[in-house]
Order: sequence, then structure tokens, then C-alpha cells
Amino acid sequence: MKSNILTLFACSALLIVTAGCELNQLNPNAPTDAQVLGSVEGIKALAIGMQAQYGETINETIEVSNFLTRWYFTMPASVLGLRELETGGSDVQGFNGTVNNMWSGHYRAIKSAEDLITYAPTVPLIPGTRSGIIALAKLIKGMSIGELIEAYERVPIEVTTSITPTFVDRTTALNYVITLFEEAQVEITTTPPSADFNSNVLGIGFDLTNTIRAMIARYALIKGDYDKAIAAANSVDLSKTSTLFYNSTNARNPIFLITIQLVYYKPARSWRLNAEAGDGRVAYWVSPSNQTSFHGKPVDDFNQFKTDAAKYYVYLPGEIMLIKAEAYARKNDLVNALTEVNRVRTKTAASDPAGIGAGLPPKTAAQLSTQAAMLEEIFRQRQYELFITGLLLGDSRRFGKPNSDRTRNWLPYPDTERLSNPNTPPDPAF
Amino acid sequence: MDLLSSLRGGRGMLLCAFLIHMSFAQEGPRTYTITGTVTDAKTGEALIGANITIRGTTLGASADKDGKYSILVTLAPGTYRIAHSFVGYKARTIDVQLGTQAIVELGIVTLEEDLLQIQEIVVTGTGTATEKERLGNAVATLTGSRVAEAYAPTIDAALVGKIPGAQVQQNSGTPGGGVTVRLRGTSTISASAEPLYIVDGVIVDNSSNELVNLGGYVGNRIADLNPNDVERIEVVKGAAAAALYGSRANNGVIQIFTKRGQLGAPRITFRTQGGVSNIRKKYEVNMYEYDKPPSDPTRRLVTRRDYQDDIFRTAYQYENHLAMSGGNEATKYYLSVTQNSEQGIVNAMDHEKVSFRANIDQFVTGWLKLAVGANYIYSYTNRVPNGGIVGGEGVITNFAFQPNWFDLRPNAEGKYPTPPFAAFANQLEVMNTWKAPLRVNRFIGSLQFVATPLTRLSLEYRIGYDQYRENANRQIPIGSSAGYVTGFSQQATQDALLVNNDITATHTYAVDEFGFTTAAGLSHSYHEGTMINASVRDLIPVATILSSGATATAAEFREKRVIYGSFIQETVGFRDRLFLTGALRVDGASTFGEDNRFQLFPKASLSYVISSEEFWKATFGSTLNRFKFRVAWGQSGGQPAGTYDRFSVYVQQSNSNRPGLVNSTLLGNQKLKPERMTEIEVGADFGLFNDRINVEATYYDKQVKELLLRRTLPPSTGFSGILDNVGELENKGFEVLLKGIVWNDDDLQWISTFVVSQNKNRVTKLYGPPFAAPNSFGIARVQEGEPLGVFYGPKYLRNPDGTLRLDALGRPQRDPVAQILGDPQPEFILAFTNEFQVLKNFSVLIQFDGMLGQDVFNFTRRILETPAFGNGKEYEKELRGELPVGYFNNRRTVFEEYVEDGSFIKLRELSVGYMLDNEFTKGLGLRSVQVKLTGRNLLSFDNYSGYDPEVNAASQSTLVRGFDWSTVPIPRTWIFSLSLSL
Repeated sequence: MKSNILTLFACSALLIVTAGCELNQLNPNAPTDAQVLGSVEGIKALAIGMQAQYGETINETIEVSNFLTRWYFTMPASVLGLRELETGGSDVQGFNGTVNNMWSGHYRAIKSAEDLITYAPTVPLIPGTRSGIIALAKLIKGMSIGELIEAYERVPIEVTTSITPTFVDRTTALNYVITLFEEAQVEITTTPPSADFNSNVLGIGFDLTNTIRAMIARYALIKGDYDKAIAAANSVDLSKTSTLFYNSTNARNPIFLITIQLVYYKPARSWRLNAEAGDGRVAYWVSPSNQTSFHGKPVDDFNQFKTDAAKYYVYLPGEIMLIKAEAYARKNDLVNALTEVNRVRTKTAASDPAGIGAGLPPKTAAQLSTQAAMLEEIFRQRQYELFITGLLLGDSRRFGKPNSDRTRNWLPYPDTERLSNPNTPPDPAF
Repeated sequence: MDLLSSLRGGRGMLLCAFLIHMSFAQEGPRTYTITGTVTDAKTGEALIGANITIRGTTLGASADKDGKYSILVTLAPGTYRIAHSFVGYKARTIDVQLGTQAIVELGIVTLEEDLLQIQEIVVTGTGTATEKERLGNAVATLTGSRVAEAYAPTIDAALVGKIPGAQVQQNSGTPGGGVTVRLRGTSTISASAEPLYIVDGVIVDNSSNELVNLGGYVGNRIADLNPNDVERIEVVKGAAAAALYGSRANNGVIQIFTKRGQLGAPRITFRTQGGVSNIRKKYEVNMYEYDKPPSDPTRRLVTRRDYQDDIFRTAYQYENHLAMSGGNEATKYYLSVTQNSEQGIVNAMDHEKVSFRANIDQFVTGWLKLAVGANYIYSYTNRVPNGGIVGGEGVITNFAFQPNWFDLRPNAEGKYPTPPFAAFANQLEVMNTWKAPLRVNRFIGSLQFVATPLTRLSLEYRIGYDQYRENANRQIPIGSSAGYVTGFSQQATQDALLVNNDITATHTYAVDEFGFTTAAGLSHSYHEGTMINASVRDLIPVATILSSGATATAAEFREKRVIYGSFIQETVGFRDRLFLTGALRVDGASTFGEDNRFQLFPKASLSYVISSEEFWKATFGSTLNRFKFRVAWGQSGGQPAGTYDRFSVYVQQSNSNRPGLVNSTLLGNQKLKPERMTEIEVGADFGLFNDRINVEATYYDKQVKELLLRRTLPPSTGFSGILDNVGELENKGFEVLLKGIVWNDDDLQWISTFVVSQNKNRVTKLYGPPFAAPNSFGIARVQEGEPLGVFYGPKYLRNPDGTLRLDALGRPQRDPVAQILGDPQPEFILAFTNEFQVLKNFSVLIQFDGMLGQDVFNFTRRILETPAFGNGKEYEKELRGELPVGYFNNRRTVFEEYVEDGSFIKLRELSVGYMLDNEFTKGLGLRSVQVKLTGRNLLSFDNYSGYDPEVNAASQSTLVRGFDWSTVPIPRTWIFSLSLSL
């Protein structure tokens, strides 16, 4: 009996020891990184979430662009952070909410994109779904970095490998962004996206192929690679549009929430008053109002994004024409530039898939006989064609407008980044 | 499988220890019979069940009904020490020479009563049962009678004033429990600071599950345990003593031992008691005849009412307890049932509980004992919201909020009027029509094998099981105030299951003047929890169950926490006076990150009974008859608050009407480790005048590092923060126990106990800026260099001479810069207890205890004098025109005003018992009859303006302490009891 009891004790001890793997408990309450990044289901869900995350952040890009170029004025007393953008200069500090939200929102999308690029090849997706997800991830990552580098002087471009990412300069970032788009293009050219990807992962209304082309064109132009910009712009199918999807429940349009529902700010009336007479795009973007802002500036009302399900164009057909116009103009090919400028000027709402039309008479070669005059015309066309697209800040700097046109050239870096990341560069002076 | 390799070290050591012990050459063993009789030194009565053990072996016996014992042993000839011990008596050790004689007769061994509890056996944190004098660290012990006879609502509440170094606070007067215990200060920031509770070796759950919102009130589950079943409590207070509990020991360990059967005829104890409770002190209420100051032309005559009279009542309680115990040499049993019912002093609050316990000890053979324990508890509590930590629905909360010129009583149809502040509730309606019951079903079971298969080896295997379901409800009928026009119904259930398996081997050996004890063990435990919470609004009339409503919300949370541990400990004793102990514990837990899965916790201690030395006996011996010096060092751990904190998780993010995922902004941490405490304690235990006075004094220094805090991450990583082991804090202090026999003869026995302790707590390193504790209105703050939870807010603007700088109208002004205003942690905790036994029949006990130097934030007073509500007596001054209009509106913004000195001394216990004459009771066929009158919380000596400075509106919260916001005060209670035993 004694030996039996001793055996029992020994067995109990053994039982305790051998159950060691029990220490790897899984979290039943929420999907974990291992579960999401290690499964087909998880990778697809992350690709869906990444698009929504990007879609939540467009508003910050637009606010930064239009406040800093003095086109937006705040309305209620309470929106201190936005008013700091409006008054600009040293009023904008690292604790500013928009400065933080634009940064953290985009980097959350970038983090998802990097994970998709890393982990999509490691799970058993069918090839067309894998290529679609990788291309989409590279596109979203590139678009996010692109929007950031138009607002901050230097940005990290690889963020999942370190908890203190390093920053790169503007040229490196722009080259990297274009490379990402080109890789995305190769991905879907080599292996066309599957039907499953197109109908179950890719957002409703989002045109992956044409958006990649449009983004190559946009950022090649910004970088100054005009031939590439023209080639890419030429490849965009202008009969198609690409939009972000919103609804009234779990993906509400953030522009609607801030501008229509909460009315935090309104467009400067001067934007409408400075337009060329008869420009049909004025009524597309705004409607006249007699109100004044918190600081007493005359404002109009917004005439877009008037419901929470309103879609948002990732790029407008008019932008593609204007990319070509500017690229030609900067190459001093004024003939082709004029053609593209006039395509935009004469475009009517009915003929534009996004419904934006200036309906203006064409300019003659004589009217835009110099490169400077041509560029100035292109700049003005961009202001009216692309009012709420987040591109105006970059335009203002690229077209060499004086600092007085802007409340700041670049945003300071968020405090949260500076306090925890020693790689954060000094804030730009203006 | 990492575990195997990590255990291998431990096993190797165990094996080594055995080999060392075995290697001493031995003479051929012979068979001996050792006999004797154990009796009480004073009365000469047999001490039935006294323990006799042969030191250095597992051999022993217990005394029979005549106090006789006989041990048949096979041992090598030599000198052996035979220890005779009995609970409540001083042990006596007799040296015997085993030689050629086969029968060794020790005769009558008399034991003296240990009135001061100097000699005790301690098992908590010691690896194996160990005499107190061998321990290098302080362990506080308490006999069960002091728990049961405190007539406190719960076991933990009964500990107040009885444990040096423990801060025990009943947080409110709500029936159903809610007690905070801090052993040598608070040692965590982000997790629970409550100690680990163990009952007869079973780790039991002491969660504070806030299943429904009652304004901050939440009970803790130790309340389920029955004080009547307690035989003894051991309290270990820090890493030096608790290292063997590994990663769960940072808050200390409290082990409760329940009563077990004793040798002899069945003993039946029956006690019935009845009690009455009242509020000790009320607020003075504004009864002024106008609603506004004289300067206001709109002021009108009003009739005011003191709603405290509607809220508080005289509360009654009763309890019946029946226990039966007995046994023979082979089988012993203890059975008990307790049923009680207790009203709260706030109307509509009551608590009922039934508890059953069965403890059985069975010798299977002479060397194998089986011990089984089973405890079932059912309780039902009707609660009402109080306190305003979360929400403003409380009854006392709205006594403060709703202006008392408004008649809140129901109309003829029974409909309660909407109160003036409609966002808050009508307190009479809450009390009389809302329901918030709580049901608890709990089973705690244990099974233990103790085997002594070899002379020097004992093995112990234990499985413990604690399972409960706690079901909380809220039912608010339609048409209610505070935003519940469409009604509200909520069902929340917490299921918990805790299982622990322990196996321990102990080997003892003595050679020459050295004694060796090796203990090694393995443990496995897990904790499973499931919480389901569902609620509905839009109820149909009358019905209040879930299915009578629409607009449902539901939530579920599941968790499982697994911990493996192993330890090895070696104690070396020299001449029974110098004891060295060293131990290592390895813990592996599912909560730790994979990269830090196994953690080592070492400890070492030394105990030196200097008074055993001849030079001492010759010098100090006559006065300082006993002197022990001790020093101990150890490390322990604290578990992360969240079971799954190490994981990076994903949250819902939909696109195009398809469910998607995006990473949570809180990054998981696969390097997550337990919080780690390193403690050193130095102390001395000594006896004066032949142990007439016993003193235990300890100084300790606890440094807690690797505290889990949320550290900010660069947002460019896609995250905002990570839970990381970055913070540091310390607790330093001393504790002294002084116990003396003031008088002891046949007519009067008088024992005095004085306990004092001091703890200084300080956050030494925070990774980041100071932050406000959640649910404290930003008032409780965590800041580097300050004690945890200091009060923070604006002060008065003052003149250079310190007087208030008033504005032109004579009103106080606030300094807009927020500053530290006070510290909720006491500087001193003390207790003074006197126990008298007069003429054998009368027993009297008086306990005063208190805390000095702590601050209390009286948020209730702030609301009472805020003009918008204005129910406090103080506000009358403004209404009467004695103070300028706006005086209190300014003052309410100055938080300094409401930080009050919370120091108090309470007459905690006063009891007078009378034991009926022995001859008389024997005539009735009874062993004893006792009647007793006990008062609890009778008086409080304090300068506090509120109900009671002993208050915590945030219940067992780690950071929000000393915050008073319309909490139910602890009542004054009188209890009369009648105990019969046969």
C-alpha cells in the first residue's frame, strides 16, 4: 500500500509538470495578433479594417490643407485646436489635436498595411486574393505616407520593425511612396485580383487599378518626375471613379460629421468671390451664406458631404488632367499644357464622372503664353477643381506662393511622438 | 516544456539535499516505546489531543482522552528531543536518551497555558509547519475566538486592530461586505492591492466584482466565509515572509484555518444572537424657512424636511449557529451550519446568508491521513445604490443633491414626483421601488493527503476547489427618475472557478547539534472566470425582467489564468537557537509574456534565539528571559491586473458593410513580467519577567519595482501605449506588538495588548507624468515622490499671514493652481485591547483602535453646501444673510476646504459575557452556558464633519482611498448572544 500511495504522489507531481503548455492561454475575448495575422479570415478582415481606418483619417488631411491655406474658418468658440490651425504660426504646437490625430490615424492604417504586406504571403490565400490584398496594402500605405509628407517635413516610412521608428527626408519618402505604388501595380498585373477580393475585401466603389495609376501620377508630379507623371496620368481611365464608402451606421463620413453635423468650421467666402465668373464648380463645393466665423471672417456654407453616407473621391478626373497640364507646363511644353488646362476649363458636370464641371470658355495660347502664366492658371484651376481634396497645402508650396498665403508651411511633430521617440526631428520654424 | 528545464534545477537541489542527509552514517536502528501523559500545569486536567513529536523525524502521537500517549518507534540509539504541544499552551521539549531500554517512560508532562500566544506553529509561507521561534520573519496570528466574538459582519472586518502592520477598513455600512486590507502598505498601482486569501490551503477568490453600478459600492468575496468556523488566522505581510507564494504574494497572504474535530465525545455548540444597529451620527440639515438669500427678490417660504429620517432606520439582525465536532483516534469531524439575517441601516437593504461546513480527518493507516473540507454558502442581499463615484442614483447621494424643500414623497397613487434635479434620482423612489439584489452560490472544497511513509519524510498532497456564481440584478420600473422613464432591467453574472493542486515533500534530519529541514513542492493552479452582463430599456409596465424590455445590450468576458510553481527550501538549525533558512520559488504564469514566462523568487532568513545562550541567561536572563533576533530578505511578485494584458488584440472596424478588424491602440507585451517586490525586515521578539510581557517589533523596507503602468508609445508605431514594467514604489515602516499579563490569579486574569504600526508609502518612479486615478473626479493622484492616491486640487488664495484672501464682497477665492492637498494613508495605525476574566464567570473585552494622520476628502459636505442643492446646515448662513451671497459658490471650488483630518480612535469592541455556574449547567446536562452583550463601533473620537472618517466610497479601489461621497456609514451595533454547549 505504501508504494501505491507513493506512486500516486509521484504521478500527481508528473501530472503537474507535464501540463506546462497550458500556460499558453489564448485570449477568447478579442482576436489577437497571432490569430489575425496567421489566418486567411484575419488577413481579409484586416484588409477591410485598413480601408476603413484610412477612410476615417481623410478629414484631418483636408483640415490641415485648407486651414493652413486660409480657406477654412472655425465657427464655435469651443474648437480651440482647429482655431490654432486657423491662426497658425506658433499657435500650432505638438499638443494640437489635429496634429496628433492626422499622425496617429494614418500610422494606424500604415501599421495594418505593413502587417498585410508581411503576413498575406504567409497564409493560404488564393493567389488573386493575396495579390489584391498586397496591392491594396501598398497603395494605402503609400497614400498615407504621401499625405503625411505633404504636412510634416520628415516622416517614418517603416513602422512595424521598431517601437522608435526612424524618420526619412521628403525625397526619400516620395521615392518610397512611388515605389510602393509601382510594386502594387506589378502585383495586380502579374496576378489579377480574384473575384473574392473584388467583391468581399475591396471597398465598394474603390477602383484599385486606376487609383494606383492616379497615385503614381500625383506623387510623381509632386516629386518632379514629370515624364512618369504624364505616363501614369495617361494610363488612368477617366471614365471611372474611385471612392471611399461610408454609411449611416458603422462607417460615417467624417467630413459630414465635422462640417455639416457639428459645423466646426465653414469655407471662407473669399474662395467663392475670387472665382472666375461663371465657374460651375463654385456651386458644387459651396453655397452662399451671410454668416461670419468666430473671428468675424465672412464664410459660406458647404455644399458637399451633406449626408453621413456621402462618398469621397480618392482622386478626381480633373486632377488627372491638371497633373498632365502641370507636368507639361513644367517641362515648358505649353501646347500640351494648354490642351489639358482647357479640358478642365470646358468640362461640364454632365461630362465628368464625378459631376464637377467648370463650364468655362477655353483659354487661348496667347492668353497663357508664358510658363509662369500657364502655371498660375493651373494653380487656380486646382484651387477650384480640387477644393476639398487635401491637396491645396502642397499646391501652395509647390507653386511657390508666399508664406503669407499659409498659416504654416509644415506641422510640428506630435508631443506624444517626441516624448517617446528620440528619433523625432526638431519642429520646423514655420 | 520550458517548465521541465526550469524545474530540473529545483529537483536536482532536492535530490542533493536528500543525499546529504542520507550520507550521515547511522547505527543500527532499534525499537522503542515512548510513553507519557500530558496535563494542564494549573488544573491537572488531561490535555486530550495534545501533540507529541520526535524532533527531526515525522514520528509522533496524540494524547488520548486521559492525556496518555505511546509512540512505538524504530530509531537509531541516540539523544532525541520529544516535543509536547497543545493549542493555546506553551510547548515543552524533553530530551531523551534512547539506548538499551526498550520502554521509555516520560511520566506526567505538564503544559502551561500560553496566554500571550508566544509559542505557535506557523505554516503560511514557511514551506512546512514551523515553530514561530524558528522564523526569521514576523507572522501575525490570531485565534478564531477573537474573530467570531468580534461580531463583525465579515472575517476581514474582524481583523481590524488585531494584526500589527495591517490596515483594515470596513469601507461602508452596506451589508454584504466590503473591506479593504492593506498589509504593510499598498504595493501596486494598476492591480488589486488586496492580499491573497487561503482557506485550509485552498486559494480562495476575493474579487470585488462590480457587476452592476451601485455608485461605487462593491463587496469583496471574503464576505462569504463564516467567522464562526475560524480556528486560527495567519497573516504574512511581505515578500520576506511570502516569497513561497511567488507571483501572487506582493500584497501579502492571509491564511484562514477552519475548525476541525477533536478527540472525545461529540461536542455540540449552539449560539443564537440578536442585534440592533443604528447610525452613529447624522448631518445637520438646512431647515431655514426661505429657499434663497434675503437679497433675492424671488425668494419664497419653504417647508424643509430632513430626508435622513426617511433613509435611515434602526436595523435588526439575528444569527443562529450550530456546530458539532468530535472523533476518535482514526476519525475526527467538525460540522457546522450558520444562518443569519441582517438589515442595513438604510431602508430596503438587507442580507441573508446560510453557510454549511464539514471537515473530516481520517487516518487511513497510521502514516496516512486524509483531510476533507467542504463549505457551501448561499447569500441573498438586497442593495440600494449609494455613493456618487459612478453616477448620481444613490439614496444618500440624492439626500445631498435634491433640495430638501421639495416634497419627494409619492402622491396618492403611489407615483413619486420627478425631483428638481431630474438628471439625478428621487431617493425615496430609489429606495422603495428600485431593486438591486445579489445572489451568491459558492462551494469551497479541499482534499488533502498527509503521508509520513518514512521516518524523516512527509508528503502532502492537496487539491483545493473554489467555485461560485455571483448574480446581480437591477430592476427599475418604468416612469422612474434619473433618465429611467422607460425603465431598466439588468442581469449580470460572474462565474468563477479556482483550482489549486499542491504537492509538498518535507524531509527532516538531525545530526549532533544541527537540524536540517528540506521542503520542496510543486503547485498548479488556475482561475477561470466568465462574466455575462445583459440589460434592457423600454420595459412594459409592471414587469421588470429582461424579456419585458427592448433595446438590449449584452456583454461577455471570459478569462483563464494558469500558474505553475515549484519551490525548494532548506532550514538549518543549530542547537535549537540559530536557524537559517533559504528558499527559491519558480513561477510560470499564463499572464506573463512568453519571453518572461518563468520567474524566480528567492528568500533567506535568520533567527537567533540569543536568550538560549548561557551568557544571556547569566546576564539579562532574569528580566529579559526570552530574546530572539531575526532578519529576513525575500522577493515576491504581483500578477498583472488583466489576464490577457500580454496580447496585442484587434477591434472591430467595418468597411463597405463588411466586418473588419484594426489593431487596438494598446500594444500587447510579450515581455510582461510580474511586479517585483524586494523586502528586508529586521526584528526582535522578546519576553520580559518570565514571559509576562511579550514584545514583537519589526522594521521593514519594501521596494516594489517593475510596476505595471501604461507607457506611451510613439503613435508612428500605430499604437498609443503599452503596458510595461516601469514603475517603482516603496513602503517602509515598523510594527510593534506588546502583550502583557497585567494580573493573573484565581479571581482575575487581565491581559492587555497594544499594537502600533507606521507605514510610509511613496511612488519613487513613474514612467511619465502624474495622472489622476479613474473614478476620483481627478482628485486622487499618482505622482512621483508622493504617496499613492494623494488628494490634488485647488487651494484657497491666502494673505501672507495665512488668512483667507477674500474678494470685495467678502467671499473666499481659489488659487487656480492645483496642488497636493492631503494624503489618505494613515501615519499610525494603533489598537489597545484589554481582556478580563473575572471570577471564572465574567469575561470583559474592550478594544480601542484607530488610525492617525490620514486625510479624508468630504465630497458629501461639498455637495451639501453647494448653493444649487444647499441641504447642509452650513449653507443656512448664506440664506440668513450672515455670509455674502456666493460665499459657498466660491468655496465649493476650493477643494482644500474639503480635505479633512480623518484621524480617529474608535471604541471598536466592548463585550461583557457571563458564564453560568458550572454546577448549574451540569444540572441541565450542559457543558456550558454563556450570555454575552457585545457592542461594536460604539464611539468614535474624531474631528471629522461627516458621518464617519472610516469610509471609502470607492470600496476596495487601489488608488481612490479616503474618499467620502454619500457612503453608508458604519453603524453602531449591539448584539446579545446566548451560547450553549454540550
